Amino acid sequence: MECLLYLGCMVYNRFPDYEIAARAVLARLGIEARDFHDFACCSSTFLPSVSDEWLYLASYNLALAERRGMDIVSLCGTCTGMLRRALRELRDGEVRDRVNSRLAEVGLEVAGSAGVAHLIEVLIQHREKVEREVSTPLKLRVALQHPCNVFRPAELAGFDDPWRPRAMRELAELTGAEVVDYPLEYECCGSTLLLTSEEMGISSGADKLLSAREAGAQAMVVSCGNCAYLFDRHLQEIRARRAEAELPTLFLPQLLGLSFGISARELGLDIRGVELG
Amino acid sequence: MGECTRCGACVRVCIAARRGTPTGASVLEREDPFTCAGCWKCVEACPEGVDIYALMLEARRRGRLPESFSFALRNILDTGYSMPVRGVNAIREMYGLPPIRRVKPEVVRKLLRDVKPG
Repeated sequence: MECLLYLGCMVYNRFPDYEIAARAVLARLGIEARDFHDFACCSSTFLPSVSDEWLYLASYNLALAERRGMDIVSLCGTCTGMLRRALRELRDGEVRDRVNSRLAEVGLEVAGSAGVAHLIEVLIQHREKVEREVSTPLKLRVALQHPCNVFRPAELAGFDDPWRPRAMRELAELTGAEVVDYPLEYECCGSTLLLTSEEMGISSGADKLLSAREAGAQAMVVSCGNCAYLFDRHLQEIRARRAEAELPTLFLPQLLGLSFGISARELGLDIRGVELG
Repeated sequence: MGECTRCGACVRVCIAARRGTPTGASVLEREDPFTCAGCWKCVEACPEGVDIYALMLEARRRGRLPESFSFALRNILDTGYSMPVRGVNAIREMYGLPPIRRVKPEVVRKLLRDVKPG
């Protein structure tokens, strides 16, 4: 089985270790992650905020996948949400015609037939295989950050519970790691708030990390570039605000990969200098 | 599509409201529609099924674009990506990742003819 790995701007730009670990874990499950050449931004929160043309760029990505005859696996919450949103819009024949007349200018056509799934969804669909691959049960206590746009709106997500998603927990528990309950577990990380208010974003990140740490977590497990951007790239600012809010960020496939016996290096853990303990 | 009854269910689950963003009886009455985490709990919580996502975007299109949005939009129009990507393939190579061919800027220009980055 193969899929097209949609990196999105954030992971492409900042988190090679997420991609490395995702590729390694998918390979163990017999899924080959193919390079998504020529991909563009999913449109994110930016384009829809100014123009209906957001649908053209999102659909362009879907058209590329269709041409290669593969489904898309995405690593970010927002990208997953936007590509799914585009798929839903394309169900309307008139909209699809309008999109196709624009895509024709770049030699493409879209039917809306390529699937879009977030990595979590793919992993949970292969939960038996994941379980079989676990060879080194982890002695680690972790907290989870569930990526909002993978699960909400439920109407677009079509799987799991929009308020208390279970998929990530189920996967993390397969690794042998202890998944702590912490009061803010089902809160949004608040990363996107950084766009208009550094203060709100940082305080939101600080509260979450502190809440997880107080519950005994040794790492925050994420599965979205935006969440990692706040917890990892802004850790210094978070700690300047709340010194105790120190928690390393681990990507879900890194957690899984470690339990599969894949070395920390092969999972890119040295890239961000993640130390667990 | 339902209509807002100003019941406040959306405000109660809004992380931006909790962090102090001035918000009226509904998140749609917010003065600054850009201060939003995009978590869409409001959409889930709304008992009337109001299309909060669409209405939030409408409010944004009427409003003044924050500099962070302009920056990202300029990047998208220049390169197809919301953040700077120069040198990324060299870094990927360093970590043993395959280079990813990027979208051609003229493709982006054809797809996004009317987008103004503010």
